[in-house]
Amino acid sequence: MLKSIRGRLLLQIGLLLLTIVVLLEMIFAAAVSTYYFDSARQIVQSRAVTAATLSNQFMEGYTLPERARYILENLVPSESSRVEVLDLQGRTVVDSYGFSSSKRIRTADVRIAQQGGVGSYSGYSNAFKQRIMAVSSPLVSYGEVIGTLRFSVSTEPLYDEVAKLVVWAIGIGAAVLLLGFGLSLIIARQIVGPIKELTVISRKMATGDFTAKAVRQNDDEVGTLADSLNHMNEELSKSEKMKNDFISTVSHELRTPLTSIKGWGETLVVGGLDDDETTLKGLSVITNETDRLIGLVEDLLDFSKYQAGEIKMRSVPVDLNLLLQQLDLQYSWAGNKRGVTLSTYLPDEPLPMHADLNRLKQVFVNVLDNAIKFSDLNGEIRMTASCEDLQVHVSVQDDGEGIPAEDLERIGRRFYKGSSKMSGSGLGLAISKEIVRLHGGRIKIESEYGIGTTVTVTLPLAVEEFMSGSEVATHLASSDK
Amino acid sequence: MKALKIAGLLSLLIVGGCGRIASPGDLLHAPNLANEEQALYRAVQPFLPAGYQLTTPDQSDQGSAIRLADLDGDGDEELIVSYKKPDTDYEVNVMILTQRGGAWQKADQITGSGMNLDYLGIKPLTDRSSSELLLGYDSGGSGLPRELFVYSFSGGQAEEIFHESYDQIAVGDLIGSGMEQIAVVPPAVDAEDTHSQIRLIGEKNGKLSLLAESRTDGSVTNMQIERAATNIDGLFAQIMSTTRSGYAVLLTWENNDLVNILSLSQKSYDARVSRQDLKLEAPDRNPDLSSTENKWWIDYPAKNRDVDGDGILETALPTPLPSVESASGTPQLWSDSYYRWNGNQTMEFVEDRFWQWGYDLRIPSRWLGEYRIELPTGSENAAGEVRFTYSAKNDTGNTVALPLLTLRQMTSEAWNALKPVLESRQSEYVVLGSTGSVIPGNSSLVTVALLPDGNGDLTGKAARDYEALRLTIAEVHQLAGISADDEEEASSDVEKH
Repeated sequence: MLKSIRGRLLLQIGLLLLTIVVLLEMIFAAAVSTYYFDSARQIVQSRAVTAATLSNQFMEGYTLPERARYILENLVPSESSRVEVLDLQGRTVVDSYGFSSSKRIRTADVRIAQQGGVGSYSGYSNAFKQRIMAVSSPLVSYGEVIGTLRFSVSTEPLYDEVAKLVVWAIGIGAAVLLLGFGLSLIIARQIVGPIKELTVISRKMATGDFTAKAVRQNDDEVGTLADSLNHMNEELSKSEKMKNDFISTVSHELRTPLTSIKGWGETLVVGGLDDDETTLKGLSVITNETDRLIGLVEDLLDFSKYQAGEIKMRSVPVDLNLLLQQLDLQYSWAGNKRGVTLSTYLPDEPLPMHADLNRLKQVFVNVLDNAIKFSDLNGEIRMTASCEDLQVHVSVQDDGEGIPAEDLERIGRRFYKGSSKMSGSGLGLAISKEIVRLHGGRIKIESEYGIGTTVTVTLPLAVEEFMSGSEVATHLASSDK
Repeated sequence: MKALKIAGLLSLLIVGGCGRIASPGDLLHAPNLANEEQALYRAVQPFLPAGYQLTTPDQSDQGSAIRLADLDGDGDEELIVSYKKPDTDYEVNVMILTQRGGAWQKADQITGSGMNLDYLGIKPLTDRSSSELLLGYDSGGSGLPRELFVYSFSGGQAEEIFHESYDQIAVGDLIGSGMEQIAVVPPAVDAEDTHSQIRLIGEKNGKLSLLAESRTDGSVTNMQIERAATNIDGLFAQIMSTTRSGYAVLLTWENNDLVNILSLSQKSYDARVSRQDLKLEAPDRNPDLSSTENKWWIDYPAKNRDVDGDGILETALPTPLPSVESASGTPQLWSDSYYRWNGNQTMEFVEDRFWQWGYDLRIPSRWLGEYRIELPTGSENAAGEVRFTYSAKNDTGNTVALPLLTLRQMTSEAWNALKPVLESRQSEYVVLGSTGSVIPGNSSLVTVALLPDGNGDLTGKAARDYEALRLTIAEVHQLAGISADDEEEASSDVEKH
């Protein structure tokens, strides 16, 4: 019971209500009884004091029996208290029923009145066999107390009335408790119901049912949870699709060279090795295709390492300018099959930074390869480096087919290849982004479909003194191996 | 809190629908009477006219307006009710109810003229087995004569058997016959004439008639018939005359005549300052009380009381207190000395009481002859402080006045200022009483007794003597009559406000 939200909710609300109700009941009971008893005392006291004051003012010098008689004869017919005139020993000279008594009354109120004060008393009276309240006021003649005027009432009706009210209040309190309990049941159902539904749906989702959809019932936390469950499910289905795409891509990429290797292999087996030219051509194709396979597998390995966070940058002080010059040299000299020319615009001053040059080279090679790959035949790509605020921006611009706007934001995600039918694992840019990120830089891709693409790599420059060029060259040489 | 209360009450009204919630005023009613009183009160209601007012006598052996007594001596009690009618001012009614077959029935009604009932007594006057009803009517106003009517009740009818005007009345068995006699002081015939009589009326040959009469030269006050000595009742009175203030008399019945026991020679009278027993002369048999000078002279009418609670009334004798002689203008201080008659020719000294200006203190017997009383000199209010002092010789042989007890009256404000001072000095004190400010404009007065601190640098025997005279707090309580007696009703649940 307590392990469920419903149970806890019921218990907590129940306890809270109980505390409040009990507290209010107690305050109510205290207030009611104070109200009744204080009012009663005030009423009796005002009557007693008024009567005594009148007697003291107008009957000064009269004896106590005379004053008692006057008080008895002038009682208001509706007087609801028992009125007694007591002498200094507490004996009843006369009461409002016309009786006198030699029995002494010595309650606190009488003693206070005998001392000249106005006293009140509540307690059980043995004489009346019930609880009474009494107020005594002194009867004074020429400054001396000669007796006591005592007004007493039965407090039993007050106790009865207070008890009646308290019983009513307890009844209402119980009703409130029941009502509160019912309400909290409803509240609990409203909270727990959607959560249960979500649980069912999330279980479905876990089993791979991507069609399951959580229904947002209310605009509250549970609704948000439903939204994010749906979102999660969408993302899951997307990555599922991406995974499938990737597998098919990679299978395709792997099968193409394998097909050609197998084809040449069979050709060579069937045709024998008589034709040297054909044999050489076949072997060279097999070698090339094997290289492609190796490259592909290395890319995959690399990527999985980046994903696992196993790649560590071995950063040393380097000059980026030297790397870019080397690349310029490499691409200009080597040329390429597509006849694309590379124009390079580099600053004269060195571009010092802390970096792992081999990794950076991998980035730029990837960017340049992509640019060449997507350029028109005999097109031109431009590589520009510029410094700004201790940052270097290296942009590679081509006039190729460009990237559609809908693909642009997904470029660089792993396995995403875009709508282009070009070959490749789709991992190159993702790996490059990771490397640049590890160097504290970023890659920005701007593209307009049909006009061309500009890829800008921004890297932070080092502030320390630049090292000698020969050192960098040595580095490059060694890393080239 | 208040809002909550109202909200609570309102919600009760609305939700409960439990009818009206009674206001506290509506719920108040007098506690039910004790069984017998309730039955009596109910029994008389049907016979009383609408708007009646119960009335009580000013003097009575029992002050109830409704009382039970066996008037006709048949062994069953009759119910006697005194009341006034609302429409007639000068009329007092007394109704007698008899019980027949368990129900009360009206037997007779006596209507008398008068403002009030001055006296109501039910006494056996002519027959030991039955009682007469004595009714004294007050014509309203002091000095006007009052009328005494005596009724006998038999066969359900009241019959007037005696009538006399009176100024004062006392009833008791002075003769010792088992029946009671009426002593009256007739009203003065002439305002100029200060002479008055005490007439004793009792049974003679089955009828009420004058038994004896004493003449006085002054006006009689405070007449009462009470126990005067063991087994002897006496008539106590004080005669206030123009000469020597007045004298007290104690009349008893001896050899078919009233005699005045308090026949005190001048020599004995002078011995009163020593507070010893007083030797009386032979009782004065002369019906003219002014015939002899051997009197119990009183300077003011101190009231005779049963101060020791033995049932025998003590006779008061105002005696000057030993006071320090000082400049004129200091008022003479008096103590009320009380003496009990031994039934023979001695008045035994009982106690001395300082009963003046609101002070009421019994002077301890071991102080007698040892103390002086001092009033503060130059004080505006001489009554504000009374000091009991003791004269002792200190080491150097000088006489010093040491305080024994100081009585002080002050306003409650002054007392509230003094109290912390006393407590910080750890001085002992007893609050003797206080009067509340019941009358507007009068601030309340507190009376305290302050006990002395230290031993006044006395040594040796002088110190021991002084120590022996000093009082403890308990003794002061006792002397001032402040009893710490327990309450009649249950003391639990007592709330003080």
